[in-house]
Amino acid sequence: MAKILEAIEITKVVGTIKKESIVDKVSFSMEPGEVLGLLGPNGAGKTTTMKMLLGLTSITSGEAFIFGKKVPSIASREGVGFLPEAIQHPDYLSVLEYIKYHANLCGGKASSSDIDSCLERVEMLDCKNKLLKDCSKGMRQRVDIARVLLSNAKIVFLDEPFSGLDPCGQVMLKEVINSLKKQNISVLVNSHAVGILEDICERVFIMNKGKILVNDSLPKLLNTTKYFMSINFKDTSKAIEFSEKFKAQNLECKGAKVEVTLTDKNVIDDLLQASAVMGGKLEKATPVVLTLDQLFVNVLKRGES
Amino acid sequence: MFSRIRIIGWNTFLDVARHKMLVIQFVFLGIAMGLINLFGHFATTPSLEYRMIQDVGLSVISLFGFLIALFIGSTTLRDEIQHKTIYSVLTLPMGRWELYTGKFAGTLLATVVNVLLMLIVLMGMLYYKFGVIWSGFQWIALFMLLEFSVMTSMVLLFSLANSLITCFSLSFLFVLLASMAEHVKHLVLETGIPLLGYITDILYWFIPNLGNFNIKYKILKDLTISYSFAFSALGYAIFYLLFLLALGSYVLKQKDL
Repeated sequence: MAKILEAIEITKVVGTIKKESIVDKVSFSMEPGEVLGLLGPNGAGKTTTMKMLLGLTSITSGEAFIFGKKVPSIASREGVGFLPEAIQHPDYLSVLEYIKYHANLCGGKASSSDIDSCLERVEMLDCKNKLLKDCSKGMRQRVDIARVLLSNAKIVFLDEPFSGLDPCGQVMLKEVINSLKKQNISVLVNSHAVGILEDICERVFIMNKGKILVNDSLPKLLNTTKYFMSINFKDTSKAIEFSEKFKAQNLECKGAKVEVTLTDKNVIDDLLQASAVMGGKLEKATPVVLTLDQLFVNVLKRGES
Repeated sequence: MFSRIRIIGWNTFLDVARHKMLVIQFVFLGIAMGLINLFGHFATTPSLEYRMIQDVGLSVISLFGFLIALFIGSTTLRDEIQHKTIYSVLTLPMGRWELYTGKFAGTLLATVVNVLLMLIVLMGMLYYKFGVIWSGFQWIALFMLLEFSVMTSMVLLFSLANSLITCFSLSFLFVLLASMAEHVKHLVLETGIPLLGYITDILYWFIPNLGNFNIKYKILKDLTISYSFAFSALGYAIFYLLFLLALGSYVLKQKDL
C-alpha cells in the first residue's frame, strides 16, 4: 500500500554551543486510513516530531515525505490537518467566524451546511454564534476539531487532542477518529491518554529522549508469550498442597483457587496433569495481554535501564 | 494567494479594531488635541495660530501614528506565535510570506485608518476655528501613508526578534535613525573620521530615509508639491517596502516555531 507519510531518520538538534538532539534519527511511515499513536513522557520529542513533519520546525538531518512530497514544502501540506495542543484562541472571534476564517484560508468555499454539519459532529452547533472567549477549554477544543474536519484533510495530526475534554467529549473524539479511519484518513495522535489510544490505534510508537523505543502494531506489542491459568480445587487444603508442590512457579493460592502465570509450555502441561490428579478443575486459561499503560511503563523502564 | 493575504489582513485589522488599547490611545489623542488648541492661544496673529496648530497637530499625529504602528506591529505576529494560533494557519498549504504580508497589510490598514481619523479631526478643528479647508490635506495623507508603510514594515520585521524589549528598542532606534538620516550623515561628515563616514554611508543606504516623506515644512510654508517629487517618494517607499517585506518573510521562514 502507498505510504502517505514517511520519515527517514529525521533529527532535530538544538543549541548553538551545547548541541542536543531532541529528536534523534526517527523513522516511521503511515498508510492511508491508519491511526498511529505517539506515546512518550514529557520532553520525549513527540510534539517536535510532529512540528518537523508539518514544516513548523526545520529538520536538522534526515528527510520526510507526505503524499510523496518532500517536507517542508507547500505541496506537502496539501490535505494536512493539524490540531495543536493548548491554543489560545482569538477572543474577539465567534465560533462561526473562527471556522470560516480557516475555511477561507484553505481556499475551498465551505458552505454553511458543511460548517453546520462539522459543528454538529462535535456538538457545538448550538454555540456557533458564541464568542470564543466565552467558550470553555473543552468547547474550544471541539471547535478546533471541527476546524480540522472542515479542512478535508487526508492526514490529520492531533497533538494532545483529549486534554481538556470531558468524558463525553472524549467519546465524541474517539468516534470522530474512528469515522476518519473509515473514510481512509490517516491520523497521527500524540497523547498521554493511553487508555483511549489503546481503543483507537492500530499501531503505536513509544518515544523517549528523542528516540523511538518501540514501533509496532498494537496486538503484537500487547500480546505476550505468557499464559494465565486459574485452577479450582474441591477444598483449600488441596489448593495449598498443590501450591507447595509447584512452589518454584510462584503460584498464588486464593482459598480453593490457585492462579499462576507461566511461559514454559512444558510446565503448563505438567501443572495441568498434576492438578487433574489432585481433583483440580481448570477454570480459566488465557494468554496474557498487556494494557497499553503496562507496555508504556515496561518500555520506559527497559529504556532507562 | 492574494485572497489569503486579504483574509489575513482583514482579520488582523478586525483584531486591532476590537482592541481596548486603541480606545485608551484615542483618549490620549483627545487630550493632545485639546492641548494643541491651547497652544494656539499663545500666537499673536490668527495666521500664526493656524500654522502652530498645523505644526503641533502634525507632530502629534506622527508620534501617535508611530506608537500605533509600534503597538500593533510588535504584537500581531508575536501574539500569533505565543498563542500558537500561527500553527493552524502555517500548516495550511500556504507560504509563510503570505502570512507575513497579510499581517503587514492588516497592521498598515489599522495604522492608516487611525492616522486618517486623526488627520480628519485636525482638519475639522482647523475648519471650525478658521473656517478654512486645509488644502494640503491629500498630500499629507499620501506622504504619511508612505511613511507609515515603511515604518510598519520595519516594526514588523523587528517583531520577529526574541523579546518584546528587543523589538521596541530596535524599532525606536531605527525609526529615529531613519527620521534623522540626513542630519546624522552631515554630522558624521563634519567629524572628518573616514571609517565613521563609511559606516554611515552603508547605514544610509541600508536604512530607509523617512525624511523623504516629511513634507511638513512644505505644507507649513504653503509650498507646492510637484508630481515628480511625489512619484520619486512613492518609488522610494515601494523599493524599501518590498525589501523589508522580503527580508521579514525570509526571517519568518527560517524561524523554528
